[in-house]
Amino acid sequence: MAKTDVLQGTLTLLVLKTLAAGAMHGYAITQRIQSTSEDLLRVEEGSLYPALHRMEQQGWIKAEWGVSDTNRRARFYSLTAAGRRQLAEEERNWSRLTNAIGLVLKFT
Amino acid sequence: MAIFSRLLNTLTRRGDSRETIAEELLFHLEEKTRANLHAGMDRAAARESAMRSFGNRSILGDGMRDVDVILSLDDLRRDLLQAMRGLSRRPGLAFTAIASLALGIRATTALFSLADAVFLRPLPFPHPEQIVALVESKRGETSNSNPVRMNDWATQVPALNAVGGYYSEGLVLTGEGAPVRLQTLRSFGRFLEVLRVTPVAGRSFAEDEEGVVLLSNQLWQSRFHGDFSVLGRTLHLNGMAYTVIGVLPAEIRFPEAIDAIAPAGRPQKAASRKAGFLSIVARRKPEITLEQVNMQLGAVAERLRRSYPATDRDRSAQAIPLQRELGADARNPLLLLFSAAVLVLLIACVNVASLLLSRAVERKRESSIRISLGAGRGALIRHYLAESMVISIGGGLFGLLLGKLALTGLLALIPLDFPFPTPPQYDWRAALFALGASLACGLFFGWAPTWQASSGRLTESYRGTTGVRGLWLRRGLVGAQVALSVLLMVSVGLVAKSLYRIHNSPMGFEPASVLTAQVNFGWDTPEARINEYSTRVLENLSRIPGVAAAGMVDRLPLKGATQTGPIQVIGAELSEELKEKAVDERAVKGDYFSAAGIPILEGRALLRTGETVVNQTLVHRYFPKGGAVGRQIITHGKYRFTIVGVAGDVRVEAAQLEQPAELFIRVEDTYWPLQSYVIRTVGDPASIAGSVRDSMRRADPNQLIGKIAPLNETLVESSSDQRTRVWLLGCFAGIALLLAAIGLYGVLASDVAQRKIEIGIRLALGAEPGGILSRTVSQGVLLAAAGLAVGLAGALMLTRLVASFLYGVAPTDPLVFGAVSLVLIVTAAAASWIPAVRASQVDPALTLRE
Repeated sequence: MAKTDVLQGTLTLLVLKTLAAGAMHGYAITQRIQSTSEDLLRVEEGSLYPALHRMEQQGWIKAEWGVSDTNRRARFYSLTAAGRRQLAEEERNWSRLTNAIGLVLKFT
Repeated sequence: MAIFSRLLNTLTRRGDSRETIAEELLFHLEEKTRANLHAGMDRAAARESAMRSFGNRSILGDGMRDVDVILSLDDLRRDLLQAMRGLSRRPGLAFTAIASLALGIRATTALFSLADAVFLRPLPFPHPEQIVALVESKRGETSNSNPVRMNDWATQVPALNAVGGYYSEGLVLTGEGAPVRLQTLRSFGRFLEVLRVTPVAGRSFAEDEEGVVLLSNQLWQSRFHGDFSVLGRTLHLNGMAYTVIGVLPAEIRFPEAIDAIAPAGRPQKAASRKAGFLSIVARRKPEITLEQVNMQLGAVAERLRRSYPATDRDRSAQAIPLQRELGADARNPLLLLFSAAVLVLLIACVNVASLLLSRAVERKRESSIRISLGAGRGALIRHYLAESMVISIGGGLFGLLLGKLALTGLLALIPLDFPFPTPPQYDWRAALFALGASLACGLFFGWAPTWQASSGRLTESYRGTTGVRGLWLRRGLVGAQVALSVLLMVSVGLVAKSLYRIHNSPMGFEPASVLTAQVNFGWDTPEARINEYSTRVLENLSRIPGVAAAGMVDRLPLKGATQTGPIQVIGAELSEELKEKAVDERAVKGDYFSAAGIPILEGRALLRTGETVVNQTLVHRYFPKGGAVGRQIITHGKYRFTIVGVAGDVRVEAAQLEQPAELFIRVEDTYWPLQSYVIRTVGDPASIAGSVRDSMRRADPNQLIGKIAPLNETLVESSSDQRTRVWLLGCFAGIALLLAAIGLYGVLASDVAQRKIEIGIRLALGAEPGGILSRTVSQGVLLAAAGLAVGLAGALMLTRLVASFLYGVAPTDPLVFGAVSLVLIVTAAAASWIPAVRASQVDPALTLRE
């Protein structure tokens, strides 16, 4: 199967949306995105962690140490209030973009 | 694993600890490995596949883009960290660079805060820019005004809102414990309105009020413990009653610390058009420019010249912003010191540039490797600039810290002979200046290695030799350094020589074994009281055992003249020049000439009313054929004196260009309330200081006695500000020379190190070590000589600027220029000696093997 990299700039949106379901650690985020997208989307670790740290610095998410279901210490990320606002904003932008692209595809 | 650790590094830089991130990534790695195992991979493959996902192209490619934005912001920090690491590997270089820069920054910052206090900081009055000083001048020389003319300006110049005048005097406060001298401003007209000073307690006085006084905040606190009950109390100043009506704000200094402001007394207010004792200030209307004020002022002055030809004939007036006028005396000395400090800073910068350049040369290989690995020119330049910025900021910080000490030292060291309208402070303004100066320095000396680096060619660098361009750049820098230090040394040499001149030309009196005592009466003291006092004091003094002679003079030698004016000689027609030329007048009493040790060449020294003793210069000028004794002269157009004696010339000013003609009259024949008693003693003058004070106190217990000190000490004081200035400048010149020597040494040392192989081959082929030695030394001396030539040429052009500090020394004095050249060449030879010896000791066998 040809590998589909997550579209540039959409990684933030995906992570925010995923975390909206509840706190989870980095590995779980990659798994969750992969499974909900029916294996169409795969998040690369090399992009994920810098993105997580950047979003943490922006104040959209916060990180806490917790215990994973495999009973190991792991860093759990969860949305902050600012993160929720950012998610709403990015969702709006995304649907505007897809609408626009849909229109172009339909009429040309 | 390399890419894993790169990700680790990238993340670490953002603040979390390395362990935290490592743990997080390892967790991810293990989870993924476990998933792979579940999927049926064997252990090794599962692990490797998990690792690969950290190391796939997304890390180097597109996936990193949004991270890259943050990375480039981090470049500056990375460059600075790298620069610090690089410099810490060369602590000697870093220390030298930072220390020399700190020295330069320190000196300039300390002097900046002095200059700031005098020229830049706004005066502590509302709208200080509207306040102007009305400076009157007569035939180009500034002269003071009087209440009559002040009134003319106030009523006839519409551009001015308010006009006031002042003079300062010391009033003695009695009846409040021990008598104390109060530095008092006597105000005329609407002085307080011009400054817009509002008392913090009580009220200010009206224009025509008399017998009232405003106390300074400082005096109110120290003498009256900040007690408001002082308001309304009566104080006795110089025996006259004054009512305290208010207290001034703490920040008022005019032109420096004052104790009180009081309206002028009636006799001063009634002074005539001829008098000249008043300084005038005015507030211009906000909508009117300084030029307009000056135009109106010029027109009024023209009218006054025509209306009062007797007094105002050659007078003109000019409005000058008050701050500039108050700082006028300080301008030249401060400017001189400041420029010297800036020169030192500049030389220090060149030194650092040269050091960095040598480092850049050493690192050429490193740079070319960076370039071949794809580092852009921009990255390289940034890298070098970061290093110079670290040095400059380090130097700036140290300089700033040291500058605080330097300022305290400066203020203690220099008896500053100019007023400070605001007290010098070391605050954010100084810090800002230091920061700006160090950043400018960083850019300045960062330029050289950067230019070198960005012009580097790969092939050239790989060969491991220095480009010819780099060597010449360093030589040029050292040459510039030498030239700058020559400039400084020549200026200092000239000022020092004129100081030597001043202090070693004959003074005309004998200051050893002489005690002096100062007594200052107020300007409104009745003449009879002053004269009675001095008669009694001189009588008491002569009875002290060990006193050989006692006299009094209005002003001590070297302290300037009191009154001056042209004289007429009865029975002689003077040349036009002499008719206008001023003669100094000194008032004496008692046996002044014997006490001061001034020789009487002809006639006698003891004066009766209407008699005068003149100095030798006056005789030469006015009686070229001799026979002065017995002739009569007229001073101030009306007072007639008979010459009874001729005294030797005495220096009038500490720094004197030309000996003025001088005449001595009895103090009773004029009015001068400031007295200097001169007492010649048989033994140590200091030993009888106590009995002198006693006998003066007996004359009037209420009279405040000023300083009692040996004349020698008083004289040292009058020239010590000059001396400290020269000493300070000398330090600057010494530092400059040292820095230039270090620079020269540095360039030769690295030259020798680079030419080691060449020298080894020469020696192997039979060159004499002595020849190598002299060649290297002469190379250094030639370089210094080139810098010297440029420096001397520059000095010839620039020393005109220090001309106002020179006495009896031409700005092109050959001795000074010669001495500086000699010192420089000797220093250059010494600085070249060590590298030269090192060159001559190169072991040919060893270098050939290398």
